[in-house]
Amino acid sequence: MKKKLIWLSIFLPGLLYLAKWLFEGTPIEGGAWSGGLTLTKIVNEFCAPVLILVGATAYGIALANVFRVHIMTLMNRKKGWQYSLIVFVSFVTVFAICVIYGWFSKERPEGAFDAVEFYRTYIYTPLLVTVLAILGFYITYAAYRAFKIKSLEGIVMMSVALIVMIGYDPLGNYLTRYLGNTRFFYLQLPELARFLREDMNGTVFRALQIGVYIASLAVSWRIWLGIEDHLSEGEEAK
Amino acid sequence: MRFDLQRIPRNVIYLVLLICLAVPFFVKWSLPVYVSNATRCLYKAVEKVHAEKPDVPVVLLSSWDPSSRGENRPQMVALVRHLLILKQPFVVFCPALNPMAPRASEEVINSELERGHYSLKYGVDYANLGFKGISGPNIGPILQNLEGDFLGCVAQDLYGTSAYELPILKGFKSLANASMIITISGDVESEHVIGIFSPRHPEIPVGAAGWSLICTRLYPYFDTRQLVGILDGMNGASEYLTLLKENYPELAGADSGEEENESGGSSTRVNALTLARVLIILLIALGNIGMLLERRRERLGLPVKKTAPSVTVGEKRYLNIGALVFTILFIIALLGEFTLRSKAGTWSVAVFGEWVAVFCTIGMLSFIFGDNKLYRTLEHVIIGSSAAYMLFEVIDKQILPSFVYKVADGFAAMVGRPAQGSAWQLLLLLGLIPSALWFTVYIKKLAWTNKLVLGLLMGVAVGIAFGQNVNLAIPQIAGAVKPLLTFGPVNVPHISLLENVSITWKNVFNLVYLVTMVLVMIYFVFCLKMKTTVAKGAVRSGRIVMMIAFGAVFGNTIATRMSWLIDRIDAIALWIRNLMITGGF
Repeated sequence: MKKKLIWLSIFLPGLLYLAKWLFEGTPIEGGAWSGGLTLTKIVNEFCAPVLILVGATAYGIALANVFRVHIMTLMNRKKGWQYSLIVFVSFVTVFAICVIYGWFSKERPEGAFDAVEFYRTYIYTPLLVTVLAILGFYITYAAYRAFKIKSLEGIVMMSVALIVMIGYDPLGNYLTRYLGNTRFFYLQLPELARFLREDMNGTVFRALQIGVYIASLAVSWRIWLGIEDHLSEGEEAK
Repeated sequence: MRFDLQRIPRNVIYLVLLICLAVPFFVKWSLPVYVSNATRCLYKAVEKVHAEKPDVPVVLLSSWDPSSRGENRPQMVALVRHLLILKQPFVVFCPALNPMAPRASEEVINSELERGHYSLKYGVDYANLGFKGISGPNIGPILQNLEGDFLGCVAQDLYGTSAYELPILKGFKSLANASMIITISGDVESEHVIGIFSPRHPEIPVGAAGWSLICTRLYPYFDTRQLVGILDGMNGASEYLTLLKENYPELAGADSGEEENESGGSSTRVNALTLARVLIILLIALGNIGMLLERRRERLGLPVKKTAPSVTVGEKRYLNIGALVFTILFIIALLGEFTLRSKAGTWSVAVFGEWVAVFCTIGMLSFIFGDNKLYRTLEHVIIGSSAAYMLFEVIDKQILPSFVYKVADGFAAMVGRPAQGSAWQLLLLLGLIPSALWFTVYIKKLAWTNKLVLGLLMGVAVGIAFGQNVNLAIPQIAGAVKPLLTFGPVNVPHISLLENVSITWKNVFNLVYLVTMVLVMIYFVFCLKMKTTVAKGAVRSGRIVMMIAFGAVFGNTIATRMSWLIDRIDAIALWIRNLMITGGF
């Protein structure tokens, strides 16, 4: 029973969206014979708002999990509990600011201090951007340590990477700019980089993506029909 | 002690990289920018749309947030500037669950309006429609909703005004009413647009602006003209701004930010990227020379050091002390700045904010030297504070307008009060059931019901994937078929290099593309055993041609990661410059 219900929860929404794709704009999807009710109408006016609500509440479960972990750390005085306290203090502070400035103090004179704006611009943005910016250091070190020409494949990959890096840069244009009006026009670094990135890379990715589309279709089909039932794994049928 | 080329300490490399990225912000130069085909095509498409439909809004599906502002912000600056120069109406909307995206777009639009002194009116000439999303990459249902009922999906703009009351959206019932769609994101949103929306509305051009890293996946769609143009990373934005300067010298070059250069050449940020690329090439070269030398030493039987230097526990203690000293010194410096500026009457919230931002940036960057308490503290600040901010925005911008107000409208209609919707909207209350099922995971007996809501989302994704994959695959398969023997001007599918070459070369290149495609496909044929020499050779060749693509991906990955880092270096450099010019130090 449980297994069947889980499968139905996949099958029925899938059927609705598949039917919409297949029959949209045709009399089969509904219209005069169904009292004006069409598949498109159901999807747009009922399913979409429900999905938006479901998506938003998924955020709630993520939040609940974060809190659960930090509450446990605080209650058990685990190592680093001070950091969990910081999570709660910053959460309460920012939520309070958002509520005050977002709901209770909407009308403010021009140029007045906005705590939410301050948080967004001077705390949230630099912290978030820097977390990801750190990857720049790691990729540099990784390229230095790991990018070695130990095989023909390595040589090809490195050569293309170097041409693309320099060719798609003003420096590449500067170095080979004298070839611009000659018969060797296509040997300019930007042109070579363009050929490798747009044409050769594009062709390889096309081949890969055709495979991906077919595989996605096959996997979608298997999930939809319940052949691939990882979701209901462990739930015994009654 | 012998200097080992393969084992340069990582701290030295990080320091050299930092210096390379910082130099262009203090020493100015400019190199000529080469505008790529994909950027030029996007520019031309926007111009064409303006010539044909000057009063119909362009829709910018902008779902980037500050985390990728190093690349997406300059792209948005370039596109918004172009639209403002043309006075082409535009609306910005984020079709993903990303509350920061509309604010990031808002900042760009406001700074561009301020820069150009345009007398455009919000709601009439442009609008920021906020965000609506289900989960990160699953934008299919939102796109379908935008296509079927644009105003109903948007519900209200970023500032709480009903979408039905915005003059710019008068008669805008569907996404199909747009003159053009441009996606600006770090994901392959454009792939969703051309897979779900474009097949039914091929007349509406779709352009894409994204991370360099992602753009490598988009070029096949550019080849088949499913995408009219691509802005590839920060370089793409720089190229677009160069085109704007060439064509609108008075309007586009009125002011110079870090994204551009007054002379129309490479910008400061692009110069920093150039130096980073040169450094990485040098480091790769050094690493390989070191490897060859090491192999030689091994052959000669000399001792070889095998491990990389790492931060030891003892050093970590010093890192914590260093972080504490830095914090104390920073606070002392801030107090000094406050005293001096207060006397001069130039102290402001913005100045304080800049100091806070720089402290946060340096504190987070300290992680590259090892885990320390300052980093840990800031990391937990962002976890708590961003959770609160996101929660508020999701309630305020998504749950209230798309659910609560609609249900309230339905209730009003049921009791006979004036309402925008019908009593049927009360059916939306059924949505509370799957939403509540998320939380059953905490109740042991009901935990399995949590899978029902996962199944619902999976089912929707699967239902949309059927159509999307077919719609994406067919043009790609058709695009792969190119004429192998042409004797005259024929309608060859677009390949950038083929535009200006002779017929003979077209035939040669078409053959190269076909062979490349076939080789890659052969590599993935696992159901047949490749025993013969020819078959083995084909498989090996397939692997080698794939390395061409992966090399290009690596080149673009470097551009993406460095662009993000450059954004932060720019912020610190600006702070130092301000300190030197206006501060007392």
